[in-house]
Amino acid sequence: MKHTPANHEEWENLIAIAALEGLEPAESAALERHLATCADCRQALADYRHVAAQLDQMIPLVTAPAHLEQRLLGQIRRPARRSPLRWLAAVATVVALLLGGYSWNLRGELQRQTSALAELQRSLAGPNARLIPLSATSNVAARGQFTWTPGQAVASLVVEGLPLLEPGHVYQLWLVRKDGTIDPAGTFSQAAEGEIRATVRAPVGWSNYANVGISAEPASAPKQPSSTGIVQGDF
Amino acid sequence: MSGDVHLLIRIASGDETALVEFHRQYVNLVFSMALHVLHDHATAEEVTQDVFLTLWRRAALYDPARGSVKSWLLTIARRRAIDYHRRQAHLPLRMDEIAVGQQPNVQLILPDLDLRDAVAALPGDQQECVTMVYFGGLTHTEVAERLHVPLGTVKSRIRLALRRLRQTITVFSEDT
Ligand SMILES: [Zn+2]
Repeated sequence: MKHTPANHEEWENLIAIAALEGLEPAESAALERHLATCADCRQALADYRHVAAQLDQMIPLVTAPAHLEQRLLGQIRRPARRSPLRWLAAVATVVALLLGGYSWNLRGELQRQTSALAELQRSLAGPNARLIPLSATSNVAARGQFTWTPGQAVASLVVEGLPLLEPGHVYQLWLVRKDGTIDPAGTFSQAAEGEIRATVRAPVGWSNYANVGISAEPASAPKQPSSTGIVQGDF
Repeated sequence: MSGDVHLLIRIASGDETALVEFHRQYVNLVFSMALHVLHDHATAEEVTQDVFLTLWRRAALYDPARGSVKSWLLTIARRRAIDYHRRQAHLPLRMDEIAVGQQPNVQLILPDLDLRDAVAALPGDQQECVTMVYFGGLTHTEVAERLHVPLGTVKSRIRLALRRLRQTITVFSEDT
């Protein structure tokens, strides 16, 4: 999209400030909308961000206190942490590398799923990503995480430890709106290693939802959950 | 694939020795940024700790398409230091000391003399606005309030400064 010169200069003002991370939120939003339509301004932002990154490197280099290493190790060893996030993080790193153009042959399975996982990574990586832990509703070891970002169409789902399905059944993901409407949001069958990764889209914005859950359903995919959820989480 | 990226993959999978190696390589960098923004040794240490803990938990957030590990870490450290500063507003934030490019006798992370000269050659009021936003964590509205100048003035100072620096960087990279 072309601008009158005066307009474009004003966009450039905002772009320069954006590169320094100093815009007011409303201005950020306006700029985002403009950037979506204007390649020139996207390029200008990339250039100015590059300048800003150089400013980061023009600060004096000092030596950090030597005790910081022990302090860090002391902190990470405190609780034995083994969250689903840990392996999720490893998966996402691989995706980031693929996106970055590196050749990486860790697992063929991952390569097949590159595009889905790329979406997952994108939704994970944003600073505004919201994480919803999914916990088991009954005495099973299942757990997972639903990650969504305001303004993004695609959310990601990771679940592990779902119980085995009966023949002819699938897992059904449900999204429950604040007004009680239940939207079916995809089905999946038993995954290798009991892990499921999926990208999720919803018919309305994420802010309309109150809960997310998974139940086992007949493969004919009912409109409403016919059984108790296996895992669920609250928005 | 760079060694940094290998390290990050190992960190993402929970490898402590990789974290230690990465820490040794970058702790000075992160601490330098924290101290630059905060001017408070104890809080700069806390910020540094915080950055590496975040990295331990979420190493996966690094995206090589977006730039080097070094510039990524500097960004995280700067933002985190600004967060701390906002939470503990009593910390001194001395604009005269955190101006970039004005310290001829200290070692910089990137000893790029052309760029340093270009920053030093900017009019003082432009440098001031850039620094207050980027290392001081202020919005341009806040800068205008503190300097008692119109908002439009702050905006054009920042644009002019970045435009000039962009030209310098472009010329520099075309030369080499
Ligand atoms: Zn434009």
